[in-house]
Amino acid sequence: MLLMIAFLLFAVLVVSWLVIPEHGREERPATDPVTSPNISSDVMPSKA
Amino acid sequence: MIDAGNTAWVLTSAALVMLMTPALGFFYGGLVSRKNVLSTIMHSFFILALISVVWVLWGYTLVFGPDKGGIIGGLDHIGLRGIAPTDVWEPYGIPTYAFISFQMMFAAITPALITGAFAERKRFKAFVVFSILWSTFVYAPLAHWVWGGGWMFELGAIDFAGGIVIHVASGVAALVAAIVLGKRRTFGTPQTDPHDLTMTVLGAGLLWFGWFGFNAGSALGATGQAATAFLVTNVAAAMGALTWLSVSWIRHGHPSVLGAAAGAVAGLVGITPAAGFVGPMAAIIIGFGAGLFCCLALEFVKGKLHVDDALDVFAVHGIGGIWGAIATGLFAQDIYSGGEGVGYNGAFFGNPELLWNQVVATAAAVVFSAAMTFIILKVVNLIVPLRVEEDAEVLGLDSSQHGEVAYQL
Repeated sequence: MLLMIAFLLFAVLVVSWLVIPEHGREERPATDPVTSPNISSDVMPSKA
Repeated sequence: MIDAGNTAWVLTSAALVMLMTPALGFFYGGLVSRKNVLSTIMHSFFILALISVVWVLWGYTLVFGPDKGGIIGGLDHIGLRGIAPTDVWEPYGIPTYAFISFQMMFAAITPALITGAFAERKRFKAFVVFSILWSTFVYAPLAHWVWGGGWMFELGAIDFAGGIVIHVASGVAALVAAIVLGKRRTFGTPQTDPHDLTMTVLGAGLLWFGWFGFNAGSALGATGQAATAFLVTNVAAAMGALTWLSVSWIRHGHPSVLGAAAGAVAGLVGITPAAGFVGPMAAIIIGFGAGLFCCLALEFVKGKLHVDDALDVFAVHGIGGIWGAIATGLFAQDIYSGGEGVGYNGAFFGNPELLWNQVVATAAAVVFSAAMTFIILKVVNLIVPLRVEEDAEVLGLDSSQHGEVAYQL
């Protein structure tokens, strides 16, 4: 019984990871990666 | 009958090996650009959690369950069913739970090694599915073949701590993954330069430390063989660091810090299959070979083949593992693994058959891992695209995949 519950819980987690939509940057960048001067050179594509 | 000394050592070793997976995250994390450092560390950290659960649910029984035709373990111990806390893993006198815990850490770090190949471009969801499938369909059979009484064991091939099972398998898988995913959009530009080598050296140091548990712990006891494995592990790491540093110094004019760190890891990889079977002088040769071959392989893979194995997993773990497995067949000496009539001798000590067995086992692992990894990647790609979109890759995976950034400076 416990074995079945354990498998079920793990399966629920994995399936949930697959179906959760990917929000990406629009949703919640902790720091704006485009405008932050500290990381902008690394984030922005090369202009060259 | 529980042996307290052996049990203490194996449990300690399990903890040491556990530390290696986040350490790998730091090693890899320093090598990527700063917009991808969190996603790279996350690969290792997450996989430690993911595979720990997979291991107790079905991984352990596939590797160490009753042998099914030399190919795979049976499902008798699914969910660790039928194993009691009082059970003893003989002949070592350690609780079976201690053995399960120790092996769990090996299962966790193996797919984590592959993540260096697809860093900075793989979709997190695809990474999750790939890791579960790879652990189940590549790691479990291979580990069973060598350690679970499978056909490689019957053949007479030896792999003390996972040179074939872990490093050859993950290194080859990394090469396949790098080819299937394609190059990073910044491949060959300064944008792929390491963002923080201090982090990489810290990771390499922690890996070196944890590797004592990895190799000496594989003796499964507080024994002379464990002490041998401990000693040769340090010697090979040291020689690997000195050699890679020297090669890069000669070729590029600088005693590279990254070269020393990568060389130490290459030496550790090289000694892994041999650790309980060879002495300190052989370890010097193995460390030298690992530092030399892996350094040259790195330049060949990126410079000649133009394969974007981002963090050089194939060069270090694939080539280092192959060299170590072959070197085991050359340098094994029975005095280090039980004495005359019990231990293993290699080709240089009158037993060329061991060398042949090592070649066969290594070749089989290369072919099996390459084919299965290719199939798994294609299957995963049907479920969820392997690679992030272009704008997400340009933005960086920390933001696009995890909604976080590493440095708020």
